[in-house]
Amino acid sequence: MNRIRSKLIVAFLAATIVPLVATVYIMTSLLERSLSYATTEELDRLSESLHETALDYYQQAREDLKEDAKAGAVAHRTMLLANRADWPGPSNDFWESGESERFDLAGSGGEDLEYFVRHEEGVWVYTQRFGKVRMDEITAQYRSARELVDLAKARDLRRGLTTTLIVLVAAVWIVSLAWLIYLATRMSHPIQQLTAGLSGLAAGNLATRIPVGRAGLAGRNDEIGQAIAAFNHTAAQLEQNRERLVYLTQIASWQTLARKMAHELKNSLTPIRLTVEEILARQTEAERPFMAQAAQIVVNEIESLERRVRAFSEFSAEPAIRLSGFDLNAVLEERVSFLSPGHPGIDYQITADPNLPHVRADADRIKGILNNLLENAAEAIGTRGRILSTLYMSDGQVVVEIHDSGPGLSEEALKTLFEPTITFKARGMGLGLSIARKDALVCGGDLLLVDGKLEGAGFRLVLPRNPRN
Amino acid sequence: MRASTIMTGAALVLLISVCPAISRAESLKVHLNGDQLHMEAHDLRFLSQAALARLHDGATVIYRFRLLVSASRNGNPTAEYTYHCVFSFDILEEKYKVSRQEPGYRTASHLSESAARDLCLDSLTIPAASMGANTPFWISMEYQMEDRQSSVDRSESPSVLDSLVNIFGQKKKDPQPVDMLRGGPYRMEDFRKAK
Repeated sequence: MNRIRSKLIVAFLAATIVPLVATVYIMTSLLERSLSYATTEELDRLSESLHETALDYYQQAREDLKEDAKAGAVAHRTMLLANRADWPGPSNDFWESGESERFDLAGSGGEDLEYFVRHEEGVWVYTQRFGKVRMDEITAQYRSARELVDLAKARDLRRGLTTTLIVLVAAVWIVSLAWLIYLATRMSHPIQQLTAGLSGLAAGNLATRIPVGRAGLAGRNDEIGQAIAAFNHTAAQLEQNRERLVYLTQIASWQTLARKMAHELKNSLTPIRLTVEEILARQTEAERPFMAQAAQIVVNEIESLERRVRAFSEFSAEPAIRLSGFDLNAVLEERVSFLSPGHPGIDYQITADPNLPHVRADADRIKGILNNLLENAAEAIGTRGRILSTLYMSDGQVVVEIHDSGPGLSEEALKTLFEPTITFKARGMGLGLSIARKDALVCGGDLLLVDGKLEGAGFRLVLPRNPRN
Repeated sequence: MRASTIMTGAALVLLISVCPAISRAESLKVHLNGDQLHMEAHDLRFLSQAALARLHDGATVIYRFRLLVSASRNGNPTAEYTYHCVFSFDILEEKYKVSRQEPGYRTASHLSESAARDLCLDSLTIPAASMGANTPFWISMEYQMEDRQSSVDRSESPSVLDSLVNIFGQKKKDPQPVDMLRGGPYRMEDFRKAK
């Protein structure tokens, strides 16, 4: 399934196996050649030769010393039995052995040959020097050489070196392969996710996102990380735009319906009002007071309906958009200054951003949106409270948030917050927020509900910055 | 007639092949010297060919001996004594040297092979006081050459590569065989009477 990873592994295998086999072949060939120069057999032969030479030399020295001793050509030391307590160890050992004669090496390095002869009165010791030859050293060298030969024979050096080479090279190669598989998985996994995400997006699932908080993808700043970020951003934009499009389509339908309703109602209300006035004019003097009162009630209701008809007409009206660049800080401050005198118990606070770039939008509509939001907030607060307005930049867009300290929105209100509704409250027709969001959308921005910072409601108006800034 | 001859021949061959083992198993002798029982086996050439080859290469060879005392021939040991004899060979004098390591260090040099063997065996002792006067006992002697200990100076510890080469290049080595001699039944009273 993971084709990229498989291809990477196959590429690694194809790229490394042939050089690896060639390298191992060359190295084992060199090993074979170098081992053919090995000196174990030579050492074996030389050590045996050394032994024979030393033995001959020693035996000859023994014979010479013995003959010289018999001929009296060499002086001797006499170890008297009376002084046995002072005898050196070799003399004692010889006496205790019961032998008639004995040869032994003496001196710190075996450079002297001693000849012990048993006599009645004690031991005669003849000594002869080997000169510069130190027999103990020769013996030690022979022993060491034989041990090395034995060690070499006890193991198959060729097999040991070749197997070690192959095992180590294989281990390095396997570690490299494991590392490559890990890297290939790490590299191909996000690509797989990206592919799956694109497939989901193409299938119409605009909610598709690639998780970036997971270990392994978090903090990636390479091309893959950038592609994932771009994908998520694009998917979010598409989802947002689709939701906005749906909303605008709904608003357009509602506008068409409102326009037709207003037209039909207006057509009906005018004859009704004229007819009621005509009925009132034709009444006798006796019945006129009652009829006047009844007619007044009907007229009042007709006027109420006419106000709604006008509101529907305004809602359905679609005046041309006049986009221009302006300072949102100034517009907000101007709106607050304009509205605040009507609400003396409310504390208006503005957190302006002096470096805020200008926005590009229809200034009249934006004023209308701000009016709506500020007045709604004031109405929710009542007589005393606080309204906080904050301006800042986010994702290259200019944002103004308006929070109030009112009771907040009910669950019921949240469900149909931006939908046009008909309300019979004293002020407003229930169309304000839907008109406000529609105006924000047609200006290239949006109006969103956010968590309130003052425990009441909070709204965010997003507007595009003026590219000519 | 011919079949019976073949059968008799086969029996003789079998007997001849088994006899050395039987005789070896029974060839351990014991004598009392002072308050110690000493081992003797003059016909036992326990120094193997491998041991002799090593000795002639100038190396030392260590033999480990276990003396097991039991109440019956194949009974469980009631006492055990372990000794080590270290043999070496003077390549110039062509004489042997033998040292007993425990319980006290004893050494002798300029020996023939048989003298070295006998001296080693004679130095293997069992305290006579540990034996009952009339209780019969058997003595088994197990002996084994210990593995070589390198005397070549290698002051540097082997690297990983050296270790790997040694592991992969090691030839299959048979463990040193453990041989055994057995003697008995003995009684301390018999030794004292003979003395």
